[in-house]
Amino acid sequence: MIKNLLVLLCFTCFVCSLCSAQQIPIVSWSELEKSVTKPNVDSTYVINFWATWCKPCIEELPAFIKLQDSSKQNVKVILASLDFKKDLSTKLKPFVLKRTITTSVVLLYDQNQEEFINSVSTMWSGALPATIIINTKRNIRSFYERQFTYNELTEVLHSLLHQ
Amino acid sequence: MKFILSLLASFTALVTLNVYAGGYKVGDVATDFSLKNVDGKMVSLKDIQNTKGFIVVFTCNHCPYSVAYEDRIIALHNEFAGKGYPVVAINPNDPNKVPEDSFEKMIERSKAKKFPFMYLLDGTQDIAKTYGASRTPHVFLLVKKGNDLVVSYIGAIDDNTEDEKAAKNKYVESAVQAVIAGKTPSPDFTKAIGCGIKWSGK
Repeated sequence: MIKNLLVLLCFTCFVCSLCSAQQIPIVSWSELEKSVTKPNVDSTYVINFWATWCKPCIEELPAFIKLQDSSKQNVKVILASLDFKKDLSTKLKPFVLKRTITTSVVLLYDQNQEEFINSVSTMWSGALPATIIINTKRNIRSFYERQFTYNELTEVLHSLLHQ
Repeated sequence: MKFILSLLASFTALVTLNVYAGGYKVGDVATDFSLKNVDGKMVSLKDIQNTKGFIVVFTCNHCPYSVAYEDRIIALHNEFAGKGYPVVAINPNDPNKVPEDSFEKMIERSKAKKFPFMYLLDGTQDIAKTYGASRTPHVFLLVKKGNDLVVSYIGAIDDNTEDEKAAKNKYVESAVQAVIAGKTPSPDFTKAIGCGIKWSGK
């Protein structure tokens, strides 16, 4: 019994530590894309390309976090940071910790930037912020090189999912 | 109401699209301009003597991607200005959006880094819009043909912002070398991550 309680306690601590300081994996776009384009999974992925140094990105970040927090539908927000790899521990992690962001954050790193940009969308010039909405089952793949407010985001999402 | 909102959303999307779909393509003739340099003088490309073309770089103070490339932009100027292709840097950002990109801060940055090239302010943002610049840094290589300035390369400086030594393709360097050798740059168009230009009124 005590053993079970201890296990539970450890597990709770583990989960809590995850909540307060999420791990930020370094992933390539092809890895990320693969994980959000599984066939027959009716999840809508909202992937926001941002960076800690990008002012308009920081301005719109709360909209994406709010979308994740208030989402009743099967919506999954991923904040894909384009901060430099060398800034992961010194800038990105402290930023995420300070704002207690629990929405998924990954650091995107691709050797070939041009290939990565075109693979996300040929419409993308490479400027930040940018966002892509993907739902493979419903054949949705919509790219935006722009800033969003929360209302604009839900409006776009609504029209994509109910078209 | 919903209909109006979605109509508005589509319209915004269209306008956004237009901003990015516009601008120059390789082969287009670029317009000259008259923009204020950090020394306070107005500069037009036609007034810059002994040149065969220009490496026009839309860049700014605040953007880490621009900062990461500063030394490489200086190196490009030092390598190619003597061969007729100087760098002309243009800051297209609205300083109301980013105070760090104000004209005064441009002067400071230019002095601190001892920029050997001109650093101009595109106060109306018209040149950035006409050229089709969307991010910083964003390069437009212009080559003189008769009285025309022909756009010969558009895009990134090289393929590794974070680590210059790891860059496999030095796009701008190769493009200028190709032009000097009388060849056509290849590739003549590349993309890179950059800071979106801070447009006024958006």
